[in-house]
Amino acid sequence: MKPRLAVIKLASCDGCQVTLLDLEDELLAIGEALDVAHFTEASSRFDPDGPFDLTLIEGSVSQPRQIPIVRHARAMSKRLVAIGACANTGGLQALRNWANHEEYLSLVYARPEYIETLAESKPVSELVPVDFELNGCPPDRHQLLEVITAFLVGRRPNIRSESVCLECKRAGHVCVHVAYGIPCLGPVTQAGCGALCPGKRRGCYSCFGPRENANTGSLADDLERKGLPPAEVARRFRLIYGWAPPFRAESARREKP
Amino acid sequence: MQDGVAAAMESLDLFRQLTEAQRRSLAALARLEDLPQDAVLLRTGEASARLWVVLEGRVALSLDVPGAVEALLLTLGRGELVGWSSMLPAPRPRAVANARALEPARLLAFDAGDLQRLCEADHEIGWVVMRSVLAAVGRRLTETRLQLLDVYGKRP
Amino acid sequence: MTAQALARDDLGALFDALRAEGYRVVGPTLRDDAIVLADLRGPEDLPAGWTVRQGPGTYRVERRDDEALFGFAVGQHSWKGFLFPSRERLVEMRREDGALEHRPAARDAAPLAFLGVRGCDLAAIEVQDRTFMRGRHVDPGYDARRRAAFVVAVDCLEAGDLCFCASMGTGPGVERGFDLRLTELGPRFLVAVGSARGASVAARLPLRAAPAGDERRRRDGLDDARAHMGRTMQADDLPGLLFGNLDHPRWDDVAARCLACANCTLVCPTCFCFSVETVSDLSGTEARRDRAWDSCFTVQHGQIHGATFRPRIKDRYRQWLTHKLGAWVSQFGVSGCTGCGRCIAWCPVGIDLTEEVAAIRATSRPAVAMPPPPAPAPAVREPMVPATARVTAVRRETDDVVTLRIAHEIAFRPGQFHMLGLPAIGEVPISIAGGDGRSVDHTIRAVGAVSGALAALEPGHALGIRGPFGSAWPLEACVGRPVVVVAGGVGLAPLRAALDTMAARPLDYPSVRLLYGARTPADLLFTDDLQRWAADPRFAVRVTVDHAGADWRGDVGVVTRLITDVPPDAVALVCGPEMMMGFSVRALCAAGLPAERAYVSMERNMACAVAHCGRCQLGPYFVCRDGPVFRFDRIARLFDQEGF
Repeated sequence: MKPRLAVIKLASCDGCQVTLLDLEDELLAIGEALDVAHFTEASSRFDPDGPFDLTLIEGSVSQPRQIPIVRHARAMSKRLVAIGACANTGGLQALRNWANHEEYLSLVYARPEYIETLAESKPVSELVPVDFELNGCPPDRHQLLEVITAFLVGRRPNIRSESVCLECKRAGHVCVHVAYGIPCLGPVTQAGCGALCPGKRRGCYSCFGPRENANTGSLADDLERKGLPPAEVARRFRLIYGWAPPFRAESARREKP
Repeated sequence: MQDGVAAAMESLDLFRQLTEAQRRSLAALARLEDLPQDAVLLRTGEASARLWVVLEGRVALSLDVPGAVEALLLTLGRGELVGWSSMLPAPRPRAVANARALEPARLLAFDAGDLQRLCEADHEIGWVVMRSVLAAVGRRLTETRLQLLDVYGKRP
Repeated sequence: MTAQALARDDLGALFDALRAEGYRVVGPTLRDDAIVLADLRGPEDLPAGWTVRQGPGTYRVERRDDEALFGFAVGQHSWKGFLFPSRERLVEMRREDGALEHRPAARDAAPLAFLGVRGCDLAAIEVQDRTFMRGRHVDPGYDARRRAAFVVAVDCLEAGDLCFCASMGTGPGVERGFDLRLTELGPRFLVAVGSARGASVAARLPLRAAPAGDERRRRDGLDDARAHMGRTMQADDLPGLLFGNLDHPRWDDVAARCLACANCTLVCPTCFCFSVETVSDLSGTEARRDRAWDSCFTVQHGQIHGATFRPRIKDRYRQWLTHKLGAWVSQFGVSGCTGCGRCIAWCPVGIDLTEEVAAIRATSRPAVAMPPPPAPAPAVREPMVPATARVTAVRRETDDVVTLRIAHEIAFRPGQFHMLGLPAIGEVPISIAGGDGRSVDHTIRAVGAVSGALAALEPGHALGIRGPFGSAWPLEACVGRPVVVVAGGVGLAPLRAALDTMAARPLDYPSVRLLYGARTPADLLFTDDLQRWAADPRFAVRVTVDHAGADWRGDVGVVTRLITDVPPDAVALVCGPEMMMGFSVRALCAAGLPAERAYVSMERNMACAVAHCGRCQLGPYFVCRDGPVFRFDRIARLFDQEGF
């Protein structure tokens, strides 16, 4: 019997699931190796009940109706992997966590009473334990393939929590922060993207979120020394992974007058 | 019998710092106890009235775990103290563990009341005795901490 | 011999000559507003008229007021990118129908000519040679590329803003180690030949006698550069100074600034640490092991089964600096720093190691003595390619521990270890628990993915095996002396072969005391061996557990309680969790045993097992090469040091 795979979506843009579909060369092999039991983005098979051997869950918990979905996914899955920034830390939509939720509702929607949302966009791990979190907005497809392969063959996935700088230097890119004075969040951001932005002479904006042991304070000090006003430094930490604890704390520190 | 006590005390590090005369006054309070295997020295909840020093054999300290098997906490061998809490000031705490002979054992037994009175009357002896008790308790505390660390667990 | 010169306008002839001799020419070129190392078509690709301005954390290219071709200090790239590529495939594996094949990966060793190697960078290449070519194990890829490479060195007649090669004794001039050397003197280059290959290339060049005074101009230029170094560092006693000051408050100070981003280590031309990653297809049929540049600033560098030895940034910065400037000397007989200044420029927040060292030196405690580098040993090639072996028997020791008997004809010394691996899963170091020349025993506790998969093997299954590696228990030093063996948990496994040796040689080992502690009676290993040893009148076996039920007749309590009456002439062999070994050795020493007669077996993150990957460092030592068995007094200083 092939292991049963489910791909479940919460509040998200579907980009993480599309990353799975982007694995064009490997898609057939994945279909051979796994029984894709539930993946509404890609397949008409509809089996949300489970059980599943591997569940990839995308999106943040943003609405009350998503809470039972997450609990059910956990209960029915041997391994539950949260993929992407939304599932990891609440995602871009967690920007509303700093604002007044009721006020937003009344401003945005003509009939706010039809909308049922939680006051905060939450990561999956806040509701249930997850076996692995794959960073990225969206995750890198090679890393996603590695997570699936590692699950199938029984090894620990080679997903490193190192900084983007290691990938950037391995690729031989010239450091944009040092050589051009472009503010770059690479030193505090988890690798995995292949240092895409620095390779195109852009600063990293941390779409893979904080790395292990991120010294955000020292980098933020340096950005201020290079002339960024504290409010701008705060804004840079408050983006896709803004709700992740190290970035959240740093933006709060810089925001203070 | 008292010859045996004197010889036993002389052979123990515990009393090495006492003078000959001090050791004699201490020996006067002690007697040898020979216990068969599984003989009980202390039971949980009893107020202990004696302090023992193990001479031969081993004594096990154990805890009654409600609804589970009795858990062995520590085995004590030659030169180690059993029932040290009997040396605490009144009201003496009740024993929180059982003590039994794990194999035929010989112990040196002191009546705790007599011993405390001697220590009170002769502070020179009292200082050495209490320091020995404190050293034994301190060592046991360190060892208990190591046990708590569970160093052989799966994480290094 | 008269000095020879090559006109600047004839530099194209050098490219032609190198290509004629079969080399691809790589060197400095201006790209993306930086001077990088890349393929060069000809002199037109050199950064004519460019220089760089650098400071801590900044680098900018600038026009010069002349058209000098080599008028700039070293940049982000170094030659290590060519000799030790940032990613390299090491081993390819195939598993199908029970058969298992390991083969070395194909290597790219096309001959390269390095044009424009500065003194600091040539020294750096020679530093890396010691890691990958001069130790007991030779890295075949590095070795092939290095031997094929042609070095065109260039003297530095101007010092950069962050240079301190003069302090480190690596520059500014290049005096040896090159095939050809150029000294840029305006319209011509002074050319020196350093090897037969260099002579062969030089013979193809339109060289002329250099004008009188060029040699003097070279020396004056070097003196001028030496006098204008952007940085200086007092380097004479650094190893002992740094290791004597592991608790200096400056480590906390620098840790607050350090991003642990690893840039310093990746731009460093001598840093050699790498990770070994197992990659496979979805079925696990085709697999390979790849290496990639790693850094002591990553958590994975010092991690074993989920726990890390260097959790704080402070631990990592201190590891880096004490290694670079200190431990390197004990490991390889040379400092790991060449004074190139890259780590200062390319640190995003501008941490300057010369300042950090000066601050430590300013309020330092005395230096300590450091161990000398190991003696040379005969070279072993292809150290990363496993042999295929088969499991012949499996014995379950406890709930989560098994002993595999593996058919493998190999000589080993008790205390050594093998790397055991499965193609798509990975590789782990496992101590050798016994063997008879035809087979080896490995006792494995299922704690992670690899050890779990190894522990699940059955008779007939194949696996990969490399080794044996590392140091052994000092059984010869134990001859005629009482031996106290203290084992904790699965730590009995690395001692089992030593105990069997002592059991088999009654005249040499008249008295052996085994003190063995475990978690519970159910966790005791080798219970039949314990009984066999206990039956030997020369052996005294005491077993204690931390937790037991009422039916247990043995001892209860930590293993250190068994350490009493240690004979003053004894030798102690101690193996178990690090915490348990620390308390045991302390108890042994308190009982009168000198620390130089206590031996412990250490565990760190070992990925290559051949002193190349840098992950298992313990101060001046590699655990895989100098350990795992260490004489305690040699590592005592690091034993209680948090973050090592």
